Amino acid sequence: MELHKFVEVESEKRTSTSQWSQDPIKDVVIHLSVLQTNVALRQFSSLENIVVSGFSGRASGHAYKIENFGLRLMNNANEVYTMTVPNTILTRGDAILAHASGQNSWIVPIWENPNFVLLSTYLSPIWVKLKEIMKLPANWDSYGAVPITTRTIAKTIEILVESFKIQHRLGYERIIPFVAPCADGSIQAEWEIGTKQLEVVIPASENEKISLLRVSEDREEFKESTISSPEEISDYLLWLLRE
Amino acid sequence: MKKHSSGLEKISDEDGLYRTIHPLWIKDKGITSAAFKQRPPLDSRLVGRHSLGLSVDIARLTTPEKVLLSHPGYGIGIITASFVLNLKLVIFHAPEPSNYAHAIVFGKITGSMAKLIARSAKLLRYEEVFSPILPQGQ
Repeated sequence: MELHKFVEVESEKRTSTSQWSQDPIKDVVIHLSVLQTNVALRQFSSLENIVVSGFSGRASGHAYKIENFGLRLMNNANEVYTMTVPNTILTRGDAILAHASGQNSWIVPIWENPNFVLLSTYLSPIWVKLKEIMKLPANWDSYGAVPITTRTIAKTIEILVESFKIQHRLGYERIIPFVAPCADGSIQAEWEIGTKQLEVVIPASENEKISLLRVSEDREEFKESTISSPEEISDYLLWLLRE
Repeated sequence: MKKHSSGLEKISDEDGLYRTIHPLWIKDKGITSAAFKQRPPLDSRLVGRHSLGLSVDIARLTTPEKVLLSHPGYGIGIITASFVLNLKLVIFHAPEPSNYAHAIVFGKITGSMAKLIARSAKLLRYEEVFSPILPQGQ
């Protein structure tokens, strides 16, 4: 079975103005009438920060049939942008890549939970890596490592989105972290700015906390700590980003 | 000369240790500390060698070619026993049927320790070990 099949969707812009690409989006609506489900929406100030999570789908075996799956994006001028996924069958592990003209977005079904996660263009390089990580078989490190679950991938995405929210708020360039799997099924994300480094380990177990390591190379200082939720990472990223 | 009475190899400060490095652990500059992190598995059914500690090979008992023979694209992280021992970790020889050089770094490897080990490690890439042999004159 192909685990990560991408389906390009057709997009259709239903607005007569040309402001779309400049205005921040204030609302996101996912039409999931066929799936008959609820979507928890988190609203952010721009397309690049949109995440839709908390989707609970109606599973029938290992396949979902999606008919006329529509994604409607609205900016603060109430211009509506609609993307439609053609009739398709998604099997476990499939992902849909949605292209809006000039602004790529990602819709990633995370099947174990399952969640739909809509991510921004600049997460796509990391998504490429996360796809590789998701495919790792047992004993991938030759020392008996366990595979990485989609739950851990989804948690990692939450952390990354938090990091991008903070960077966006502070007006920073996007700093793409290095992402690596760990032998125990956790995922490590690493940021490095100047003499500062931040390592975040997203555990495979829900019962474990997220662990962090801050390194100040100039002071030869190593500080370890833990947090319970992805939102708590903001203080550590602020430490990393600020002079 | 470098053997315990048990027949197992003694590991001295001067020994080099090889750790197989998965391609996803290789960074632009060196190796991620994730390569040197070991924690107990979540599911006892999935217990592997890694649950015992950090698996390495004793350099003087093997070769880079042997280590990477069945792992194309992987690398080797070369660390010194003295560096590991200075972190108050223990290394013991744990030969396996197919790998006499196998050893285990035992002890709680914290995030800071893994970072220090990664920083000290020298990366030997697969291409460096198995570089193509060009005919003479080329």
